[in-house]
Amino acid sequence: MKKKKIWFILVMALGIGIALAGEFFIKGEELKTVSGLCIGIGACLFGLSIANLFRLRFEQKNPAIAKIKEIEEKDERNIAIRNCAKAKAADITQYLIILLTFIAILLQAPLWIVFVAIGVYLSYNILSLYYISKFSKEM
Amino acid sequence: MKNRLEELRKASGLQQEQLAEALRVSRQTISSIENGRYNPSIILAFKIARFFGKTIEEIFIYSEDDDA
Repeated sequence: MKKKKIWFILVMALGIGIALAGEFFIKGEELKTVSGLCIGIGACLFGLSIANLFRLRFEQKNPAIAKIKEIEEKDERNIAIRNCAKAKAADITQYLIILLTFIAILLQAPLWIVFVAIGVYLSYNILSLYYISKFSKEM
Repeated sequence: MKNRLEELRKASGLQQEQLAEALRVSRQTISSIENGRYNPSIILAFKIARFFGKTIEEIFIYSEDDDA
């Protein structure tokens, strides 16, 4: 719990640092996008850490609720359901990426968009093969 | 897979919540196992069997139809 708290405080400080750097130190018209990106990432890290710190505080004050939550998270049926849902969602996403590729071709979008879509599709399949091989060795 | 979990739980005078807490699983998991919708892992099956002081075979009833 304490380690998590320190971790989130560090991430929050990092978020503030990145956002401030984006606002005050990254200047110039050509670096406008980088500056905006830094502010966005910084704000995101800050928000995420604050939310998690509040969650940890809530769990500390309500140990009974925290225990139920922990059981729910580690429950084997819930884990199986989550894994099935992720696998199904990934399968559907794969078909959506194929659809996106064809739409990009039909709309005569720049070639790099088509290549990015094909790259994502290939990454999915390569990652699938990698994890099949990895889990086959482990199980 | 059919099982005698509900029968054993009721005979022990336990609510689903109480059994779930003792086994450190969710109440829904106990409910799903009792209804035969979910087959527990071998580890959870052992935990259930040990909790009731029985063997796995005494609680979970395997039939050839379960392969389908």
